[in-house]
Amino acid sequence: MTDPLVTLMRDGAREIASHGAMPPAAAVFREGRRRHRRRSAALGAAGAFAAAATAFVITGLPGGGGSANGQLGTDGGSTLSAGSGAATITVVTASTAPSYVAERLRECARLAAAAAQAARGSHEFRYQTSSAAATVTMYGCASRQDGVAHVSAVGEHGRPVLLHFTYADLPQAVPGSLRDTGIAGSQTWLEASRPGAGTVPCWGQPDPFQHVCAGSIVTPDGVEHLDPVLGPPCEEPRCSLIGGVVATNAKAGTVDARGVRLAAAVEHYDQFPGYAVVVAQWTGKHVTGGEFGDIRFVPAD
Amino acid sequence: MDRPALDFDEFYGVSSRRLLPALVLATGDLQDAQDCLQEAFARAAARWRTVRSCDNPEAWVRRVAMNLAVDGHRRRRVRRRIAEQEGPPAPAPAPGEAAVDVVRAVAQLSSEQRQVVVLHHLLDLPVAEVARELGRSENTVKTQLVRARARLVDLLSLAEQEQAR
Repeated sequence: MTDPLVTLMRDGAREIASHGAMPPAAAVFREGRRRHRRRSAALGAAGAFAAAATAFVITGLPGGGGSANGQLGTDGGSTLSAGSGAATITVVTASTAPSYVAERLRECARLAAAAAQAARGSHEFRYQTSSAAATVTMYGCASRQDGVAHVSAVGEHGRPVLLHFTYADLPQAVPGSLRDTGIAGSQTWLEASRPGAGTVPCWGQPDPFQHVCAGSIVTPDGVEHLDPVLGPPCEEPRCSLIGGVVATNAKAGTVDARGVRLAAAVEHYDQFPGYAVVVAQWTGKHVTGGEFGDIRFVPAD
Repeated sequence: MDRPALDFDEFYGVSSRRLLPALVLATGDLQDAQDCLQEAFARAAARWRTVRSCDNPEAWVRRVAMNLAVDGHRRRRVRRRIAEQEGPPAPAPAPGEAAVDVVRAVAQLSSEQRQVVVLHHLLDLPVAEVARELGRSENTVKTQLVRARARLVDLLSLAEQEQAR
């Protein structure tokens, strides 16, 4: 028996759809390939970045679980200087591309550990891939909110590989709140709020099919700063707005047009063409790589 | 263009026709629907060799497009860029009143309800698959479908027909 309501919806949607033609496939394909070329260029830059990372051995990949403990030493001039001490990182992955993933995880882990360590001394956190992936490129990105490090990573090649961040240990460990606001499908929303000086919600939306992109930071003055987290050159209109915030090789303390202060100079990052770093800070402090702030790699237009 | 482009053409032709009506309901607006779909296809094209080897490339595009429809803030660029290259689309006659009414009614549903309605009723996904795709329980999806239906019946003044079912 036909369902009149469903029939109505289908007919209505089809009629509306029939009033607008999609562009030719060739035009859409060209647009996609143009992005692919830009992304490939970015991957080259990221590869150079990974190669420059200090060694951090992660064992136990792949196959659903593993852990590694590593000593972090000084890391050769990274802005996220770890100093001395140890960080424990547990990696759980279902990846099927161990060597490639491991290389990127190593970079992620190093940055995350560095940030965690800078923020809280040693720290433990976990993350895991959402599903098996033939190939995955992860860009390490560490940021600190409430003295908590988190890692953003990006699945490349369109596979549903992006990370789910599990912060099981963190809510109890930090003075503010950091909560997983729900995993819907393969999306994870994280929200962190900082006590004092207003709330600084910060969202990241790892999307399994694209680079991490959406997000915003609301500074205590109530201004929302659109904030791509990191990834290959971002195509999104809202991300392009970050141009007002990002500046390659900007001086520490620079305040952009939106009032976001760059907490640290970003001169270390000019070796990574195609990327810039946002170091936003709201506390008024300025310590390169060591104080509260938010550090992100973003595409430099 | 090389061989994948030919595959893409075919895929695009078939899938866009199937997905566009669903996106119209999901977004409540034809242009938004086209934006989402074009964006999703452009992303698929950017990684076409991978997407084409997926078990279900259309599901890939559908999911991206539906995510975009829900997010509602990552569109326009593809359409703008393509419009610059190809010129604006030809003017089209206005759609019928009933079609507008039904799309408008669906647009009044919550985004959660709209998602399940589109996936289940327009794209024929079973409840279990809708639940899996949206990360919700099957019971939640069923409840949302029931509530969405009740709301649509009310909005479209279909109470008599509904009672007759």
